[in-house]
Amino acid sequence: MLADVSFWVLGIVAVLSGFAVFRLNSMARVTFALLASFLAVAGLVVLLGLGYLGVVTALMMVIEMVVMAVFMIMYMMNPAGLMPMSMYHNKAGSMAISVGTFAVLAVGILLTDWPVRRGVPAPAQTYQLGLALMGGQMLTMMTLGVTLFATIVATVVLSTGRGRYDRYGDDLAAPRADDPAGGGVG
Amino acid sequence: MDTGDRMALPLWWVPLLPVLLIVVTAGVVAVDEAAAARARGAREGLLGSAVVPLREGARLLVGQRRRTVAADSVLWRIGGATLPVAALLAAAVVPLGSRPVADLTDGVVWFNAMEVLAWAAVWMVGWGANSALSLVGGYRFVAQGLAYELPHMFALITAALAAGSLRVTDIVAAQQDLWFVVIMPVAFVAYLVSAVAMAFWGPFDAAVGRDLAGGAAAELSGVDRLVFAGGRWLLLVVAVAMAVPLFLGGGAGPWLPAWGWVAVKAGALLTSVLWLRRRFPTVRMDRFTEVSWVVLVPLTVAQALVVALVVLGRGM
Amino acid sequence: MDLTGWLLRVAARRPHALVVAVPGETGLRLAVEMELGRRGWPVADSPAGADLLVVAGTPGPELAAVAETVWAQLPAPRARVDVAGDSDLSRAFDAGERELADAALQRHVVATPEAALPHAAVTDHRAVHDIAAAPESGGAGHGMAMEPGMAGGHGMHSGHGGMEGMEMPGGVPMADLGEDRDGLRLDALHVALGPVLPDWPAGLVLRVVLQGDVVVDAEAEVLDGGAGPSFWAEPRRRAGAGEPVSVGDVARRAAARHLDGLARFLGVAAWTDPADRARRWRDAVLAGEPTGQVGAPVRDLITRVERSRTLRWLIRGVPAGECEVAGLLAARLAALRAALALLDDPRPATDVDLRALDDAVITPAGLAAALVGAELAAARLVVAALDPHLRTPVEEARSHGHR
Repeated sequence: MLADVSFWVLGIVAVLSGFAVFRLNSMARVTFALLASFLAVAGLVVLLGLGYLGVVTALMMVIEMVVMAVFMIMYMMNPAGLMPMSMYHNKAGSMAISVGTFAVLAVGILLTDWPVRRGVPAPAQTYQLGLALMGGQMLTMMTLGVTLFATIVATVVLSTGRGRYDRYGDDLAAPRADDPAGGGVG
Repeated sequence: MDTGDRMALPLWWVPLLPVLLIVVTAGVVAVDEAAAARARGAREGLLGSAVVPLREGARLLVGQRRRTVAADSVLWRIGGATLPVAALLAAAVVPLGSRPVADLTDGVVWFNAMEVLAWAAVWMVGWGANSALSLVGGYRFVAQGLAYELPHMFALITAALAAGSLRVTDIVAAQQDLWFVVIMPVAFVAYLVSAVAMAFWGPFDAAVGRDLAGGAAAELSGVDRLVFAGGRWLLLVVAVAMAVPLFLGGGAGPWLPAWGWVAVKAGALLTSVLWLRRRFPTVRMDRFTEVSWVVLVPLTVAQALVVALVVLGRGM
Repeated sequence: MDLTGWLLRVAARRPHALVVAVPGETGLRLAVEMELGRRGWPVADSPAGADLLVVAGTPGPELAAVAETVWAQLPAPRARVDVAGDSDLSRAFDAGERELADAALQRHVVATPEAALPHAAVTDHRAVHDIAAAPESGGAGHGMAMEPGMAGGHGMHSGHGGMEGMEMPGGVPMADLGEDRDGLRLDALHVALGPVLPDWPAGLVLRVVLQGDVVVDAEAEVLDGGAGPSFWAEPRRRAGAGEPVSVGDVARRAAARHLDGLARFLGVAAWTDPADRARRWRDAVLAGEPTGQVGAPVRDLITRVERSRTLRWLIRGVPAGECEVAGLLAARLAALRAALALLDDPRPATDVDLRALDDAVITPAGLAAALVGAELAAARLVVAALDPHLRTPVEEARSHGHR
């Protein structure tokens, strides 16, 4: 009973706040409407019995949305908290695509003949999840991790115009880095 | 979620938890006030300081709420209300003695997810007022959040790693023989630093700094200010108290009951946090971010590595 | 039972006060701070956080208008205390406290539209004064020349025409774009800082253009044509006028001045403990406490500030015009030390060269120039480190005659 009510409430919140992303006219509100949608989805994941995945989704999405709000508002032409703005380009097309996708997915979900669960979930789910991800695939995950990290470092290196020679001099002997805005170290 | 409430307190604790937390927090505010009065050379006395939280509460309850031009009132109010709610939800997994209100299997992750709501909350409060100083405060907090969050996560994960579980009561149980603070002092310090930074408590209070006339909180008055300031205090108390089950063995100790030891340890940590606030000037963001990324993150990673090796060695 | 009335009475015992300092009436500001400290009433950071507005002195027309604006921004329950040179502070504050506890009066404040923080009035006062386009009549269309420290908004400095017919939310114009220091194009926001900010020089208004929190342009002005004769230089002036003034008198005032500057700097750096101490010893020095009582604790305070690695780390490499913030702080501490050594010196002040006790005098233009390129936090530190008694060029010339 409680699960049913939660499912419907979370589902409706997820869809409505997702829709609000395209209806609201403020960049900041749009971001947090999207966050609300993600949080509702995280709640649904928890309802499925996947506590770890649900909570991690919530954790990641809060961080991501706040960072995204900062970047969107920084790079947008107008800080849209003040100036009303429309969130879509090609209104008819985008509406058709998004509503169409939603309809197709929803119909698919309703029409699929879902299998009935056999047996019971493992007691330590998070542990099982870890094993499933890492157990047989450790090498893949390690490679993935290092690749992602290398990408981040490479992006930062490429996007900054200054290298260590600019900071510490040609023989890297300067006692303190010469930065346009000083940081807390060196 | 698998609430797995094998250790959870009875259900009637759910309404009791906020009351308990608010009373404890009022006590902490009073202690801080007493320290401030002493530094000013005022003769306020302990009783005078003890009524300060009540007076402040009364003052803000009757205060008019401020409106500003072209404010984003929705985000502004939601942001303020999120802080205390997040603090209370985070408190649900903190053992008050040997048992928490909700003994979630993924308690540590839950705790972290609730804390991180403070990011969104402070940014929304700073943004909502449509005031330049308040907005700068909100952005300062996001910068601070980006700086403290990784060391914070590594510190949490290190404790979970040593216990082999994300459940807070399991982490406490794993410290039967040896408190984690002994084998992971760096993680402990990083946790405390990031907990203080998360509650934007001094010396990490640039987001609500005096130089910004109150920063994110500059335009809050009346009950809005009460909710924001109270939520911040709650967050500080909860985040610091969580260090007890994570690193200080929870309720373990002789003579006293478990809740007594939790209270003693959390009280000691909170006292030192209050004292440190008066010892240091506010840390500016441009300084802290670099230290955090260049010093704290590698240190906490190294700490996690060492603990991982210890766990592996034990498992062999 | 009248719950609101009871809450008001409970709250009125500890109101938060916002002090509007009048340029040249430093003595009054110190007396107000002392009285607030004696009562244990906290000092508010912003109008929204205050219940009691204290106007310390008789403001000129410009500052009086600011005080009105701030008063309009104070949320009820609220009370206003105007103190002048001859007021009985204690009685004035008691009256403020009574006013705050008076439920009937406070209800009237909320019920009366013009007294109660009306939306329209706020719109008016939050209009952004624009430097570049001087739109006293453009943009938000308000004649208000200044805003108190905490008000903000988005100002536009060109291209009003392009926006015609577009609805501006709240009547606030949009921010315009400008090149920033990293080669990006970022919004340029026009903000007036002051004159009502914590630990801020009396009457100073800084009109800055911000990109993010970096000051890209600044213009300084002191309301009502600048400060009058400095309170801190008073013994010096008397000596110049031929009155018998000892070196000790001059040094005592100088020591208090530097302790005040130190307290304000540490206040901005939010190092509350030593800031409180500096304020306490400043009051003690001004009250004429014997050197034996104040010398040692003040020297301890100086040592503590000098030795603080955290403070050094925080203010390292923050440029302030020709010098750095750290240099300004060191100079202030050195002058304070020098003043402490002379507290009991009975020689006539005119016989001795006391320039080592002075602090930097800076013109508004010089101050503004020192801030360009600084982040907001750094800019606040620079202003606090200089803690300028701002003089107009005319006064500057006059004061040199007295040396």
